[in-house]
Amino acid sequence: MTVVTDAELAAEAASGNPDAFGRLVERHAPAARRVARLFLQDGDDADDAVQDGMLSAWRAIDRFDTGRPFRPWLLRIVLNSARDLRRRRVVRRTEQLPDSQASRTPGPEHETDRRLLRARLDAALATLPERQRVAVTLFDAEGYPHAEIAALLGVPEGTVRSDVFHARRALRKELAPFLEEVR
Amino acid sequence: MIGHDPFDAQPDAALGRLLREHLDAGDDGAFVARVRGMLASERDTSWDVLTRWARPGLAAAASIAVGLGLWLALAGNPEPSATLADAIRPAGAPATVLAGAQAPSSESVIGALMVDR
Repeated sequence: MTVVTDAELAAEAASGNPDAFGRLVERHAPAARRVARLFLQDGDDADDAVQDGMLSAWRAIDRFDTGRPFRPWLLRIVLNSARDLRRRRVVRRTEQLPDSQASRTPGPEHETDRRLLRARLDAALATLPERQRVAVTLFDAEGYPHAEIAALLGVPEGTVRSDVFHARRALRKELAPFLEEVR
Repeated sequence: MIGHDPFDAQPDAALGRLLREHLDAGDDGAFVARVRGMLASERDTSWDVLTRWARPGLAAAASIAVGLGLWLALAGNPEPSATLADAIRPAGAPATVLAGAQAPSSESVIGALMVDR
């Protein structure tokens, strides 16, 4: 069975086929939702942002250059939606902060608990500058190449490598016991 | 953890897995179905807007076309450029009789008419 490329689906979508765009959503929604969560630190807000981003991309699909990769184009739109939403909901996020602060100091008896891992990850990610968080997630969790991340974030590729390096170092230190378990 | 080159160009599978699991919202199928539904309704909405705009647009275009047609018809069929002299001139009377600045004498009028006969 031939795999239809993103560019082919995007071209079909640009001719007004919502089903073709729906297939692109299906391909890229999981990664887009994860990255939006990094920005918004709230699952519902992240989904709202991804949904808004997807609809914006659908409205602009006829302006997409099919000679270029689709994934960074879509993710850039989603990230812009996430940033817009975060600006609008900054007060709500501030109110949520005490909960995540409290979850940073769980007792040692729950070392293996999933909640501890979650708390550790939250805490570790919170210490990272936003660009490092996004760079390491896109690189290690989503498998994006450095060049694509650089294009997406609008920074040189060397900056992305450096961001991934610093973020990894911090995360590996914080998550050492958990990483040993999953390796 | 030890032995991992921080500048390694390969993704760290273990770290990546932890991050993915941590950030995974779950139920991607339901999310995608919701967005697909919105795409369809977005398309419907766009067509509705176009349709709403199309009706008055077509009416305006038709009115403009009718007006333009009338104007062109009138412009292509101008009124005859008749002068006062043409209107009052008896058939066959030479224009010279009426073109002068002075009123013609009765002899010249009768003479001109007699010549034409």
